[in-house]
Amino acid sequence: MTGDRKAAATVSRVPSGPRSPWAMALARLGRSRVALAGLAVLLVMGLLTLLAPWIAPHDPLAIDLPNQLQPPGPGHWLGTDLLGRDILSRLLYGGRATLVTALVAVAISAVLGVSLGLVSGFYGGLVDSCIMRFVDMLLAFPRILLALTVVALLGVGLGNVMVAVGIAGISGYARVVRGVVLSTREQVYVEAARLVGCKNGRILLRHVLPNVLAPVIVLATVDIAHALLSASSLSFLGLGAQPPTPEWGLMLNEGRAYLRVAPWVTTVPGLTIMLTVLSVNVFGDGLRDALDPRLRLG
Amino acid sequence: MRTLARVGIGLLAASLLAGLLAACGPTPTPETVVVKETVPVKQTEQVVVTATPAPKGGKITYGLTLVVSAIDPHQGLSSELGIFLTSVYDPLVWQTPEGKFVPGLAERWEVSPDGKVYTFYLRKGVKFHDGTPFNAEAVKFSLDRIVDPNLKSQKAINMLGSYDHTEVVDEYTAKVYLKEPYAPFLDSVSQVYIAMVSPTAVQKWGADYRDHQVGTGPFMIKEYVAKDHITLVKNPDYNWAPEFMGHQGPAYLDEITFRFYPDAATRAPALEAGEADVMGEVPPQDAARLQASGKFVLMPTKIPGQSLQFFLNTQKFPTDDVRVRQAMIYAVDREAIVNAVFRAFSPVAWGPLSAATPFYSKVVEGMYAYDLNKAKALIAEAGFRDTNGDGIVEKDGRPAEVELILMSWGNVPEVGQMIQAMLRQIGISAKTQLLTYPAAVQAAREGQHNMIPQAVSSTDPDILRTFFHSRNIGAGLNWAKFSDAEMDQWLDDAVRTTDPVMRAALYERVQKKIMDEALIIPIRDYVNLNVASVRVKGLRYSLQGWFPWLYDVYVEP
Amino acid sequence: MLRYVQRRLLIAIPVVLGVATIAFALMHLLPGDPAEVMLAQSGGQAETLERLRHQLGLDLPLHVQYLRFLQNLLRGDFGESIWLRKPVSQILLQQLPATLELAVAAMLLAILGGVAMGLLAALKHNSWLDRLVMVISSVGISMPIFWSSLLGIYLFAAQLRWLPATGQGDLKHLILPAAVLGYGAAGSVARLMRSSMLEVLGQEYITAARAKGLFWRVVVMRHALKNALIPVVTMLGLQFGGLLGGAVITETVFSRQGLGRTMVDAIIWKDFPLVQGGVMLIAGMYVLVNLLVDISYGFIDPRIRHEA
Repeated sequence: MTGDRKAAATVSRVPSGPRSPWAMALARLGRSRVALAGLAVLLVMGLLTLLAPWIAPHDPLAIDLPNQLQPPGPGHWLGTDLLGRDILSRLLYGGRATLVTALVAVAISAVLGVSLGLVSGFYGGLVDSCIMRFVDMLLAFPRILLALTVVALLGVGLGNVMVAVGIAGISGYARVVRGVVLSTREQVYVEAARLVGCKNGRILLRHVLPNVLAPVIVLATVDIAHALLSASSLSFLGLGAQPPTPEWGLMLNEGRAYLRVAPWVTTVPGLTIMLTVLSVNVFGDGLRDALDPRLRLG
Repeated sequence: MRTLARVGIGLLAASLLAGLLAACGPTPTPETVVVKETVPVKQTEQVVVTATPAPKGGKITYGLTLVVSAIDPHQGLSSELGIFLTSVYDPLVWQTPEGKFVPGLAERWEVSPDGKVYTFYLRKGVKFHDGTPFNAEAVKFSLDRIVDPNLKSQKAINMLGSYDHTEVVDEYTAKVYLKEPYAPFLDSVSQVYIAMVSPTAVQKWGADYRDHQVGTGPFMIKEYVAKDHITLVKNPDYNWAPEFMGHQGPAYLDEITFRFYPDAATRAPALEAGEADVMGEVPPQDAARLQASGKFVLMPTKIPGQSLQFFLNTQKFPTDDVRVRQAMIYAVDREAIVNAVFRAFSPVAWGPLSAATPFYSKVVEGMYAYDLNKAKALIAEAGFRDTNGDGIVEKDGRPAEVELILMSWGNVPEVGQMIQAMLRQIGISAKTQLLTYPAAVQAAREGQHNMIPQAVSSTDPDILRTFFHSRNIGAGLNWAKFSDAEMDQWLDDAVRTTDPVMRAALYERVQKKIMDEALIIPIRDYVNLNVASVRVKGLRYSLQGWFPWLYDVYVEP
Repeated sequence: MLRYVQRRLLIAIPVVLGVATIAFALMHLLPGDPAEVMLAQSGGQAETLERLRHQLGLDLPLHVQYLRFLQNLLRGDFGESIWLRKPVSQILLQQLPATLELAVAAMLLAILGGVAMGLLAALKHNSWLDRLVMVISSVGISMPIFWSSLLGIYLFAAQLRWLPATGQGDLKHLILPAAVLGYGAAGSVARLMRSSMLEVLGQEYITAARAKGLFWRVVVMRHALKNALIPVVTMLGLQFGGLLGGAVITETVFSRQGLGRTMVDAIIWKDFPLVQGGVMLIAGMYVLVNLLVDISYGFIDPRIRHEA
């Protein structure tokens, strides 16, 4: 396993090699039909969301009271909500807010988490202890409560939800990266680099970072699903997206009081969230198997 | 997360006056003063004439919304505590659904001419649930307990006004002294917050009294599990019901369980699944559906106090211009909001008080009826033009943008989004911001808002002093940040006089002034949509609108 | 072993204290003041605000408030809830069992369902059963819990009338929320169990055991299961925190009392003492559960020992 990693680290800088592990991973990914299906769904969703201004049949904010709570039908394919707004249009526009929030949140978690993990694992000692205790604290704080507190602190709004969910997700990356760094640090080539006189920063960047890439990519993919759910949960609790901004979690929340009279108002965003998360998960599975069949992240 | 805005009932009503009014023969200003007798029409529909000799009884489950607050009536401020404690404690004085004050634990009472001394002559033979006799000592003990700083009372202490002390004249006579005349005092003592508590029980339990409350009412607390349920059982010795109840002697029901349903979406399913027999604050869509099913009775109960209203900040651009504020009211189609969001169960509000409030004045009715053209004209008159063609009007280069603060109670987010769209039609851009209650209150104090919603219930119009007296700008609740010496004077006078005619005149001026100055956008009168199973008979609600009288209730087998 | 436990508990103390301090700092940085909220809700006059602030001790400088908090903590006093007017420890002890009941029930469902599903899928690798398990478990981890809760109520309570929608008390009330909460976790467990089992089954000693002619089932149970369970147990420890988080939403939607809902309310309504106490309790529980998980490795696989 470690041999593989070493190879990955070396070859990744020469990606042209026909049998490079990255190319092999890609080939393996290509063979997983389920993962490809997940990826396809995600791509279609991303595309639809990007094209929302051109393909949305209605203005997502246009209030149309005579048409409130219309069931799905010819005029409104997915029905309307309490204020008569077209759910399909809101769904398309809402995808932007929802997906961007999740992606940014994961980016925040990954960048901060990887940095902490690298520093912690590489320097060890007191730095390591301090960082890991901090990470323990983050872990000990249930993620949703932590995010809730951060949102309460920074104020309600999607931007703050990104930060909140991002911070709440740091610990996973820090722990995984630290583990990989600890094992890499003892490798012969790192020792060699050190003996040759490489600076710490250079060693971290050139020799250690490439090794953590594979697990981080996998973790980030799975994490997008978590972030999506957390961000939607916050919107659901009324602490995320601001009305009238369409956002999937918020749309679901807005409809729950009318669940019995107009189930489509909650079902449509609910199904969409589920489908998205499902696609992310199956794609993440495929990616994990492809990158490192032995990698286990739960 | 649900509104607690309406939770606090505030400072209360003086309806001794309603009685006086009636005694005076024809109402002095019939056009403008709404006498309490006309208020609770719907609330009396469920009155059951007790003719059937068959033994009545049974158990019911009553669904409440969220309890955030303490459940000791002297300490807490929520209206939920009143929903169950109304059956546990008797007041000194009852207020009928018509707003008349009638004997309760006090057989009769006298008010000194200067309005500072209230003498209560107590009923004999009344016992607390623990056997302690009720007497003047208990009255003194209860009132003194409320003002004890160690108790940290959140609401009851405010309701006692300028309470000074109680004198025990004899076993059954208590004299209450106020430092200043306080018109709402009798209304206060008719409320559950000024409960008569058993001195023995308080001394026995100390700080734990909240879990072991002992009153004189028709039901006794059996069990309280925070955030889950409260169980009451019948008080077999009860024999001092007020005359306007449907019967005498012990209550019919053997046991009542109160459960909490903080998530509005689960209230209708709980009723349909038979888990609850009565439920408050059912979402309008569900209420209509349940009523149509024939298995439930819908009892919309009007809540006196503030209407649901948005304060307009008079110290922040662009709502610092009265013409802009007036234009905003004209532009908001209240009827459309009430129909869309509240399924027409709530009346459109015209002024700062809901029509069910004593001393509500009809002068405000019809003011600012929806009129887009008038609104646009006012905006133009105020010097706003859309110079850059973006659909938003500007004045001196500043666009007309308003901060619209929303909270997640009482359908405010939906109402806010509709208002946003309506204001857009006259070129005003509203930026919505959904805040938690504490954050919203802070934002309002700091004046970050142009618009912020509020709705506190109260059976006395003195609530207007809280929200419009200039003394309450800053630390207080004058969120319109409006200051007017004349209005301050009216508000101060109205709380010190016990003359109902005078109060009526003063409050009429105040209500007119508030609307002339366009300090608020009134939306709807608050209506609590109570739904009960058809099996539940005899249910009525008190004047406050939130509190059920469960004494006459029984379950049809 | 004992020294290992001691050491782990010692490390836990600064973590729990740190969490409490962060909670203290955060709660005081949050916008809003409970005294103001009380004023707004009771419709009081401006002059009552100072009295309310004084009653709550909010008129003291922040560092004095913090020192008081620490002092009280040393005496085992977590303070009094601002809104519920009860000692925080009393509230937490009252709310904890309900959440534990829910979390443990969900966990049991997750373990039983997840391990069984994962095992089946691995033994019938690449069959339709395997695929079905994968679909069921993938949907489980992808369902937003707030949506599955609403769906559950809509379907099983409002439509079919099989189960009560809300409340708590007996087993009937527990089934729906525990199932909703446990379903997500079961999905994760099933997937991990499957892959872990597949890996173990591919290893040489299993092949050897088969060659020796031992009955297939005995091989699976005795050798493979034990080894396959280790990663699952690790994950359960981590999942427990997730379950507590999920309980926040489940408790709200199902109108159950419990720690999750209490904490959400406390954060939103700025009930400082309750948030601080609750966060410490949750952090302490988290540490404890993970310690138990680490210890349980030793029972599953005697080769793993804990040296101090």
